[in-house]
Formats: sequence, C-alpha cells, structure tokens
Amino acid sequence: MANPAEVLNKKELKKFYPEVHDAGKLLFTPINYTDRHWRILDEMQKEWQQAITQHHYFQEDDIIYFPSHISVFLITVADHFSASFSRVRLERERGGTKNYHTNKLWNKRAYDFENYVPKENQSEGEILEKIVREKLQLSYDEHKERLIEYLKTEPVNFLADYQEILEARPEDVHPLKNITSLYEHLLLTKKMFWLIVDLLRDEILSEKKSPLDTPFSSESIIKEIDELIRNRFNFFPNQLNKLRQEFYELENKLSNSLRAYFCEVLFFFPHYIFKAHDLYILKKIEEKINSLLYKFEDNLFLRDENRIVLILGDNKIKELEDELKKISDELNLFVEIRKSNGLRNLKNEILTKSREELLEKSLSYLPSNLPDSIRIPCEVCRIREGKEYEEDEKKVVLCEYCFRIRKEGKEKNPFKVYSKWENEDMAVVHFKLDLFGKSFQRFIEEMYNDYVKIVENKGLIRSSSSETTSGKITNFLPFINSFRCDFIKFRKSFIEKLLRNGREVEEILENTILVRLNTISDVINLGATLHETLYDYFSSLYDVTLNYSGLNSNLIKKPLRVFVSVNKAKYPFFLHWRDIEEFVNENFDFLLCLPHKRPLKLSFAQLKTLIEFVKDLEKKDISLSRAKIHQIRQIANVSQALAELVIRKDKEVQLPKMDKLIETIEIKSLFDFLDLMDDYLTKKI
Amino acid sequence: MKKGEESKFYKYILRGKSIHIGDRIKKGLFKPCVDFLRATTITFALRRLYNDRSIYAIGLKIKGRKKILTRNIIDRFTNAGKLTGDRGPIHIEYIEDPECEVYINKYLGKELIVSVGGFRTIGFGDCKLSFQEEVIPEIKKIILDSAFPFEWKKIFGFKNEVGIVRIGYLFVPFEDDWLNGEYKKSYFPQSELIAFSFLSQYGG
Repeated sequence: MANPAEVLNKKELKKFYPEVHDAGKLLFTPINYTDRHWRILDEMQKEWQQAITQHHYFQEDDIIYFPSHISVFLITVADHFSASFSRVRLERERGGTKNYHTNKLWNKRAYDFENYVPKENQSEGEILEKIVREKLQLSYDEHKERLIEYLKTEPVNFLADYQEILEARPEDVHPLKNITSLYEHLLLTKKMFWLIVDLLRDEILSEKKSPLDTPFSSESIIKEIDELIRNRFNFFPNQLNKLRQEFYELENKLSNSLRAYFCEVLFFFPHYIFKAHDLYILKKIEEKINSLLYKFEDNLFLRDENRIVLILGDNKIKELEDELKKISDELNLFVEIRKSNGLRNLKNEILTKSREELLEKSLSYLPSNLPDSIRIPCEVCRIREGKEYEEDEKKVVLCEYCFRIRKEGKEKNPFKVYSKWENEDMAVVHFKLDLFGKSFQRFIEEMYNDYVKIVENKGLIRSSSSETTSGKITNFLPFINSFRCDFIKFRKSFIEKLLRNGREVEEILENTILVRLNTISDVINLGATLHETLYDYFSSLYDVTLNYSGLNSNLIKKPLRVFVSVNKAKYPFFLHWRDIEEFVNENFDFLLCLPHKRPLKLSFAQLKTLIEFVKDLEKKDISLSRAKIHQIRQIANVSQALAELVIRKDKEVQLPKMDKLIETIEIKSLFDFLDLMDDYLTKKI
Repeated sequence: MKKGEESKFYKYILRGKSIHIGDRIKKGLFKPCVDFLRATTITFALRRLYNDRSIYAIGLKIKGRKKILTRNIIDRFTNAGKLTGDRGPIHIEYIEDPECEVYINKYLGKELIVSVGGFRTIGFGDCKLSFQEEVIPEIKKIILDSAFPFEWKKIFGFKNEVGIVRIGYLFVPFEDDWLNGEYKKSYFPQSELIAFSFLSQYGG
C-alpha cells in the first residue's frame, strides 16, 4: 500500500465528490419493492460513480457494491456521521404515509401534509414526478435521462446545479423524519468527509504520537481499511455479513481514533466606531477571517458575526494560533479563543454536549507591545498612544493603526450610502443568531415535539388512540446550516423589500444593516416590513410563545432575535452597539431602542399584535385614532395608573383591539409605544 | 496591619439621584456613561474626600435607568446658546437613581456622602455610601465586573489570568499632582482572573 498520507491526497480524493453520493434520491428506483437510490447507474468506473453505487453496501448482497476505494469507505463514514443513523430516533417506528416535502421546524406556516403525500392508488414515483415538474419544469423521464447523462461527467457543481430540487426533497421521507432536506444532508456529508480526511492527515503527519488510551493509530487503521478493501473478493457470498461487520468495526475504530479540538474564535475589537470610515475596520476583519478560512476551509463548523467555530487536529491548532496572533498584531484586535480538550469519538461529543460543556479552556491574544501607560490615548482604539492630526478642520488624536484604517476607509469608502447621512434618522438593525448551544437544541426539540403532535392529530401515522409517539432529535448539525441558509434568504428578501419601498439601506455586516428613516416614528413601517418577512421564513418563532417577563433563564431563547436601535446618523455608531449589547443576555425576541425612551422589549408574537393594531388603525379614520391615542398619552403623562384604567374601562376612548394589546404587552411598554404611534399617525394625517 | 487584616474589605451600597461615569476622553458632543463603577473613579473620589492615599475601592455594575441630558453651552459674548461647532449643545448620558455595590479597603463609617464621576459641577454625582458588612474575600476564579489598573493587582487579590482578558486604560492621577496623570493599563469587565471573589457580581 502507498504511504497513508499519500492515499489521502486531496487532489485525488476530490474526484470522489462526496456531495454526490445520494444523487440517486432524485429518482425513484424500486427493486424488490424497495427504492434503491444507489443503483441508478449501470457503470461505476469513475470515482464519483463508485461513491454513488457503493456507499450503501449494508443493504447489498453483491460484493461489487461494497467500497472499492478507501475514499468510498470514508464517504460512508461521513454519510453515517451526517445522518447519525437517522437524525430522528423514534421510540417506536410508526407506519404511515411518506411525505416528499421538507417541513422545516422553524416555519410552521409552510408545513405541507397533503400535496407531496402519495394518495390512494398513487405511487411515490408520481410524487417525485410532481416535484421534478415543479422545480425543474421537466417530465420525469427527461429528468432521469439528464441526470444519468450528467453523472457520466465530473459533477463539479452538483449541489448548485440541483439545489432547488435537493432543497425540496427531504433526506428521509418517512413520517416524522421529513424535517431536513437532502441538500443539507449532502452538504453536511461533504463537510464531514473533508474534516475526517483533514483529521486523519493531521494525525498521521503530526509529530506527536497518539496517547496511550487508544490502542490504534490512524495510520494503522488506514492500512487495515485498505487491506480489507483489497481482500473483499476473498469473502464468499454467504460471508457477506461477516464482511459488513468488519467494515463496521473499522468505521468505529476510525471514529474513535481521531482526536479533534473544538475551537471557537471571537474577534473582539476595542474600537470606538464613530463614523462610516471607522467602520472600515469591520471590512478588514472580514477580509482576515475570509483569508483565514481559506486555509481552514475543511475545518469550519460554523460562522456568524465576528465568531467562527472550527474542528481541528493537533497540528492545525498550532497553525491556527499562529495565524490568530498575526491578525491580532496587524489589526490591533483582541482575539479570544475558547477550545475543548482533545476529543475522541467526535460524533458522540458533538451530538451530546452543549457549547458550554465542550469549550473548557480559553485564552486571549492581545496586540503586541501594549504600553504600560499612555499619556494621550487614541480616540478610537484607546489602547495605543495617539498623535494629533488635522481632520476636516478639527484636531483628532489617533494611533498609527487607527489612522491607517481611517485613511483607507476614506479612500475606499465601502459604506457610500451611510457616509452621506448626517442629520437623518437611522435604524441599526442587528440580527442575533444563536445556533451553537443548548438554546438552539431546546428550540428544535420543542418544535419537534409540536410537529409530532400535529402529525398524530392529522392521523398521518398509524397508531391507536392510546399510543403516543415521541421522537428524539439525535443530530442537530443539519439544522444549524439549514437555519442559517434560511436566514440568508430572509435577510436578502428583507433588504429587497426595503429597497423596493424606496428606502436607503447600507449593509455593514451579514448580521447588521442600516436603514435610513424619514422620521423616528417611521420605524413602525420598518417594523412592519421586518415582521412580514420574518413571518414568511420563521413563523415558528412566533408560535413558541414566550411573553417577555424579564430575565428568566428557564425560557427558551430564540435562535434568531432582532435588535433595532434608532437615532440620528451622526450619533456615534459604537453607542448603537453598546445599547444592543446591554440587553443581549435578556430573554426577548425583539428590542427597540429609541432616543430618550426606555427600550421596548417584545416577543415576536407581541410585535405581530402591535403591527396589526397599527395597520387596523390606518384602515379606519386616522384623525379619530390619533386623537384617541393622544388623549390616552395626555392622561398617562399625569397618571399612568389612570391611563391604564381608561384603556381598560372607558369604551369611548378605547380603540378596537386595544384590549388585546393590553393583554399581550406590559403597560409601561405600551405607553412608550403609544408615544411613537401618536407621532406616526400625526405624520400620516 | 496584622496578618489577615490586609485582605479585609468593607461592603457599601452606593445610592444617588444621578451619576455620570464618563466613557470618553475629552472632546466630543456626546458624553456616554458606562454602567460599572471602575476602581479609579471611586478610589480617587474617596481619597479627595478623606485626603488619604491609602484608600482603595471598587464598584460593580451600576443599576438604574440611563437617560440623556442635553445641555447648551452659553456663549459669553452673545449670551445665547451655542448651537453648532465643537462646543455645544452637548448630550450627557447619565444613570438615574443609581445603585451599586462598592468595596473599600478601609472602614469609613456607617454612612458617608461622596461626589463621584463627571459633571459634578452641574449636579451629577452626589451619592450616599451605606455600610453593609465586613468582607473577608476568597480568592477564586472570577469574571470581572469592573475595571482596575494593573498596578493595583495586589490590592484586589489578583493571582493569575486564567482565560480571556479584556485590556483597557484608566486615568490615574500623579501622586503629587492630582490634576494631571497618565492612562494606566488595566483589566476591564469580562476578564477571567483569579482574584477576590467580590470583583464578580455573582461572587465568582
């Protein structure tokens, strides 16, 4: 056998295209009453064709369908890792109708239990035909012919070329399991494959030896796998179970031999960002992260805001730490790392431990040569000695780093739209994603329990009235990426709507956008657009009703929250962030910070009630509505208790649905909102 | 001091009407306020009051409602407010009805009135410190909820950094010239340290 490190040559392994292994699920291939999606091809000379045909050997009785190359074996391992022997484990398997629609747990409104379920006298193949017609505008036969032809040549862009239909089709169509798409599964398999290869290479190339707690090294396992593959034809047909067992044992050995570290990196900058050209530091950080991820592409687990989460072997940890130190020095940043101890049995660790349990160690990289004392600190970073410069006929004090960043920022001016605003009102809309940790897991579990009840109530699974089904999510990984993809789509749609409405928008970061407002009360229109788009993509976030009642760690924090801070464009930018960060640990879905007002903290359900209330009022006599709101406000200025009484009791003053509003929102927040409404309706008149 | 006495601290609760702990070096029309009482602010306020340079103190998170006061500087020649340019109007962020735990290394009486923070000349900063209890702090792993200079590590029982550290600079006046000074390297909130337990709101 060639050197194990050479066997894992990336250039050669690329030809196997792990993301294509389940391409057969886009067709319906019944053989002996079972859909055998791995048998779509008649040939398996090419590497990716072997991956398609030989990864499902557990259900085959012919040795030609067993892995013929170590790469195919690794794809099988990655496939199993990705699916973890079904990402939903049911206490008891229930028969029932298959469903070819991916029901995403965070979008209950889009659940479909009818249109992609085979009716009586309808075959599954017909349902697949329907999906093909809708997504590809082709007949099934045309689609089949094209796909087979496609797979005769290197499928370089398979995921992109077939994305729409891959996203539509669930990875598992059995009842209660159609909650992640085939696209997510293939993406995850690809990621897991390259990660396993990277960890194997790292282990083999590492100068450190494996600790004594494992009896085998990665190198020896590679040799064992290779030997089994070469000798597979020495097994007789009646010994195939033994062969399967040997492969299975090797898979376990491999999973247990790899040692990996979970590593969370946070880029923290002390910079006080005042103006558009200071924001250029964010572009620089983004560039650095992108170039870092180019080197650690195979190790990326998750990326959001200014944080990345990686899984790495021993060698690469050292490489990463060196790179981070350089970035810290170049950009005058604090880089914070939290990492796990070396983990064996990675699959188990990822699936059973929360972020807090995994990341046990932490350290910071600080910019080099921070002085012990400073006479005049830089105005922006405040950690270096500043020098006086003339800027726009004013004197500013900046260190060399910040001076350089500002200068580059002015020259390149990446935020052209924002830099033109001065006295205009502006909203900073910040989306907080929390996908790595217990909070997200609990949210998914909660939504899944709800999903099971819905399916049972619809009679879509076979069970007697006395039986209940409970399922347990065993693998959260596909949900993380899928949720994030939907967030990207939501964000794009939200920005498009704003632009169509004639708004000026500046995209600062993936999670932060700036929107120019006509007046402060115009934030109500912004809120309406936000709600409309959010409800399209993440309707379940409204459904998990958690009325804001203060800091409560037992409540489920939503994986996506929205923070809006409003002020004049010339208001120092860092203060928006500071206002947002102050409340980040409290449990609410939507935050609105207005100048001179207490922050409005709501659940998405409450936001929906407020927006509907406003829209209802707009349809009626605006002058009358405005007069009534103004009246309540005047009373509240004297006595909030009296104003509350008036709202509840006095039918003359009450507006339609106001009683519902009172039930859902804290009274003090309601008065703050009425202030905003008064101004909003006044401008409408 | 007798052995064991040097690590005794006295817990006070600070309460007032309004307080401004500045977050920005001089200049600028917007004066933000931080929400924690850093060691240098309270220490030098007490030292001014008692003319005692051996006093060290630190406060934790300041509870209260943040508000903004807009103040117009009057032009002495026109006797009218300055509306444009560098000098005004300025927006001062402050905390209304502040309440904060303060730890002092000396017993200063059951109650005392001290002026803390910025814009004291226009009415901010008058606070009452009420003694609560004597504290003999443990040294343990904490997540810092305030800020103190490196030079004062020993005072606050510092042993080691054990994880993430956040660094900044705090103004420390010169020994012989309290109107001038330097900005000294300091630990800021969220730093993971081994130090006195009271430096964290939740006791480490």
